[in-house]
Amino acid sequence: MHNQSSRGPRALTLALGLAAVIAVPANAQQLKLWEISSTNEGVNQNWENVIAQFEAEHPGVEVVMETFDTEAFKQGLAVALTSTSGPDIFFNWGSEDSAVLARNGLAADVTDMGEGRWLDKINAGLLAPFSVEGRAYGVPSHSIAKYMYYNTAFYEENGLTFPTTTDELLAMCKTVREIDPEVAFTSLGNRDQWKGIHYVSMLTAEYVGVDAMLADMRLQNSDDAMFTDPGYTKALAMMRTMEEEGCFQQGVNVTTADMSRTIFASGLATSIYCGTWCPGTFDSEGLEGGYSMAPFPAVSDAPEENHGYILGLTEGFQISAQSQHKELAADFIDLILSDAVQAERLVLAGRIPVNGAGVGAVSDEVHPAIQHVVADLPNYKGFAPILDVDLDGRIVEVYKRGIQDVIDGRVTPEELMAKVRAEALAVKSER
Amino acid sequence: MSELSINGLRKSYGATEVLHGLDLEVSGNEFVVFVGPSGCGKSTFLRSIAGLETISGGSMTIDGADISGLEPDRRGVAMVFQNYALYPHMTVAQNMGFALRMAHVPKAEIARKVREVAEILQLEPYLDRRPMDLSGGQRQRVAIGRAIVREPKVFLFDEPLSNLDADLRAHMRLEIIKLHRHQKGISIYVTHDQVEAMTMADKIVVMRDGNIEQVGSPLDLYNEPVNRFVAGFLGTPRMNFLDATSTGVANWRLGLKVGGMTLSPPIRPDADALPEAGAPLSLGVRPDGWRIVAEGDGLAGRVVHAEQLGRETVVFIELEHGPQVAMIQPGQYRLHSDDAIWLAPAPDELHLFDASDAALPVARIPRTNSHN
Amino acid sequence: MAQPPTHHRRDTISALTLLAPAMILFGAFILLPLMQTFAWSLYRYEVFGGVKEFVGLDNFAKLAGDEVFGIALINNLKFAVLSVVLQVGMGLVLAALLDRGVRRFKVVYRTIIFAPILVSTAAVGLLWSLILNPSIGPVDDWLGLIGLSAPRNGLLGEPAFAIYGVIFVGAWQYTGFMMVILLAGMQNVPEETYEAARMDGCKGLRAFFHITLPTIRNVIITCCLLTVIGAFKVFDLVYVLTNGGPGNATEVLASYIFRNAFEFGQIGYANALSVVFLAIAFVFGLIQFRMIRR
Repeated sequence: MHNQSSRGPRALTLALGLAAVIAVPANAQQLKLWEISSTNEGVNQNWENVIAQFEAEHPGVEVVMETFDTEAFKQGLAVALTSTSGPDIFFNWGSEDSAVLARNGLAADVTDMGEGRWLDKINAGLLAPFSVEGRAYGVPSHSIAKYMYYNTAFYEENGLTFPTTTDELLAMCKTVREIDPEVAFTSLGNRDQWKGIHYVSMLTAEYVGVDAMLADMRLQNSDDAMFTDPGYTKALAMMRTMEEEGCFQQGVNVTTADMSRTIFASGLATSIYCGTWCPGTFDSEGLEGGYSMAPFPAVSDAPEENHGYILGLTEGFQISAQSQHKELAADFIDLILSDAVQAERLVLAGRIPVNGAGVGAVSDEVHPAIQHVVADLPNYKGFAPILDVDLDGRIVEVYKRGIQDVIDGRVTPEELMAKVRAEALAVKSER
Repeated sequence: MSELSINGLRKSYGATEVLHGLDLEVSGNEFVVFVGPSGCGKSTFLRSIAGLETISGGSMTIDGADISGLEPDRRGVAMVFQNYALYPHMTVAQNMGFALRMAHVPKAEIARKVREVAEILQLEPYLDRRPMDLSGGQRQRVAIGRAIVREPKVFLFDEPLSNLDADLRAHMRLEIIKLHRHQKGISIYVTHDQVEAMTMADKIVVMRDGNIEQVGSPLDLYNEPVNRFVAGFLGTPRMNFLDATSTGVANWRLGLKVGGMTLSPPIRPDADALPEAGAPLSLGVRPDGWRIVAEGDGLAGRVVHAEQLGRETVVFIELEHGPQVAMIQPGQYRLHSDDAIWLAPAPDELHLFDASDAALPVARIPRTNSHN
Repeated sequence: MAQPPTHHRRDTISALTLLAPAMILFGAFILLPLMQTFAWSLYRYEVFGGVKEFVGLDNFAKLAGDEVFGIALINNLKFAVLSVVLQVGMGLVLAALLDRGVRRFKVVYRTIIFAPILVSTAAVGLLWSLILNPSIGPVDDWLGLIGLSAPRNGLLGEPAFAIYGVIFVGAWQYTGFMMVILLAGMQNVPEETYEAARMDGCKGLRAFFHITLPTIRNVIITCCLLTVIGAFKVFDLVYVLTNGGPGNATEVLASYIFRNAFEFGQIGYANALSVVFLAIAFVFGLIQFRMIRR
């Protein structure tokens, strides 16, 4: 789920996955779970433990977990849910991704299943990202968020403090280049376009405001107002300014997300805007804890009331409308939300819990960066929306590819927003 | 009239020498055939003359001009290959005119020459066809035509008929000879088939292991082979060889013991270094050189098999004290397996070879007159 | 000789029986999907939301005005033309050198040149995106050695150059493959043919043009067709090298069709794109068929 917004060809994997699905023999007491595959041992260990516990508590029930990489999962899910061989329980993002399944009747309504289960563990308000018209169609299990990670040693050695506003940020870009022209303030790997649109999402939330932005993204604004807020172009202009001021390393649009993490870890950039899943990579690339975390700098010329949001979302699980074992599935989801499992997911898999009741007991075992996040997240007003998660795919396509052009200066922010608006109107007219 | 002169030609591949200093003079309009068992170097010799092999030593001249350093197309030679080596993507006319095109001869001139040669070879109806649309014999004629068009002084043929069936081969043999007479110039023809050599050559060059064994007209070589190898190579069935022992020379005659039989063939007056008594010799008798004699008069044997060919009979005989031999008798002999038979060589038909396989100077009445 | 009609009919029946399995498979896996593609190209058909309505040629009208489709089509054409020049052209030169130029270590050279085809396209793409990355890769330094400087964003980061960068990497990967096919063709030309040509005063480069090239003509045409088809099918290489960017600069038909179908869920439009794609492939196939028969 890490690069949840990169899109591409995984049709083969999908086909193989579907073939595997067909090969599983039907079993009356079989619960099928679909999840995004992970190479993280902790994640896989946690799943083994949870499944073992569930099977022990429910004799005769077999939980079959099938994992897919992100793209195959995205492309195969809707098709599988309309067939008879789809999963009973499946991972999803608390966003348009889960809402679209709910609207099309592919996800089960779980509003009434929470009583005596997860509603004892989490606040009902947390169901909002999985809700459509007041009914819940999924349950959050953890959250993800993006922070600025910076090289602690670099800032300490040079007597610098990490910028808290964009004005400071632009100044810092110059300062870093003065110290070492080979080093950039921050590393951006926008080859696959989703890193850039995350930047723009955060900047836009600051300039436009979360509610106004969500109204545009859900195509709920009137036709003349949609995507007309000047904040959209300001956010894009900030990207261009950062590029012009040398804030990024060379070749932003030919650098992949993986490469950008390597660039940061190797010291060629002093910081990186990265998700809560990133510290593991930095550690394995040799930085081993030599980094600190900071919120994305507040945008200096944005309205005061828009500050204080963090880019992120909750992720969780939905139940298939076709499932023959909905109650069993609800029990399984409830287990994931239990105090002990939430704590274990934090320890083993770095998943930021939605139910923090068990965290106190394991705080010693948690990665310092994650501890920081667990402690820090409650300080924000809420999540800033991620443009490529909640926006229609065709609009995202125009938007994120246009951001590459804006960064390189081939297209002005105004030109790009005109195209985005036109595409949004086209999509809306077809709905 | 052209003249090809080769002196001390050597060819090595790395440390291995395959041609050991060959000398050859060819003049006039001779049709020369290189013959020998496979691996004897005859093809390499031919390819050296063609310029397809770089030689390691010696010299080659055509009409007095040294050609050994020249590119193949500058030597005044043309070659007909065993597999025709036609250009598959070109028509017959293009194949035949290719050399002229490469030499920048004007198009009209090329067309005229190609037409002329096509007429000689009766290839006119096929000029616009591709090689793959022709029969084997037609392809062969195109390959020959391609050589003729260049008007070379020396034609080289590398086993050109080996891919044709027996009938067509006999026919093409005659065609090539007729063409040679018509074209003038020297032809050098490589074959491993001694029948081809005997029937076509003005001059045969017998080769073995990178050396020339003997050069001469077909009948010279047949009648007076210089050694046992040449004697055995020409003629079918092959010459029969029997072990013999010298009993010394007396009155220009050489005494011999062969099995239980004694012979004393006459020695030529010019002979020197004759074998002493007791020296081991080899007696050679061609299959038609045997006479059937009365019991006890010659060598005893038993008929193994008799091939009744009507005009003649080929008999294979197991000698009592010697090897199996072949005998040809004109006319029809009703012989059966296991029939006892007594043989002796006709006095004029025997060849003698010493321990080093060199021929001994046995005096013979010229064979051409003695044939019945 | 004419056969009695009963035999004739029985032959027809047994022929049909023998052909049936192949025809059924062909029908089920090629003909039906093909017809379905044509049919769906006339629909507005969206997976998400379940829209399916007949719109006639609307999809094709939309396609004509689709800027990205235009970019993709031109990129594929560039890819095809330049790949033929680079892959088949370089392949020919290398094959000719290995066939008749180089005398020693032929197998070594051939193996080295062939090797890139054995590497998966994903790995090749990753390798070259690292090499060509201006922050990480060494290209800047290499160009510096000959007094040039790479574009600030790297070869793949400039829309004007990016597609050529992708084409170059494709050529790097496939030239060896073309070389091996062409070399196999060349080695089928008998040595005697070259000797005959030498006797006719034709050797070296002249022999290459007068003998080698015309003799392996059909092999060359096949290579060209393979390359052109490959260029129109190209997808993975673009995906791993540039993901279609910067902007839409390196978009190609296959990735655009894929995105429309599986990311935007616009099955009808994706089918219309496929029909155009098919038409182009058909034309190239026809050209090749005509050329190779002669």
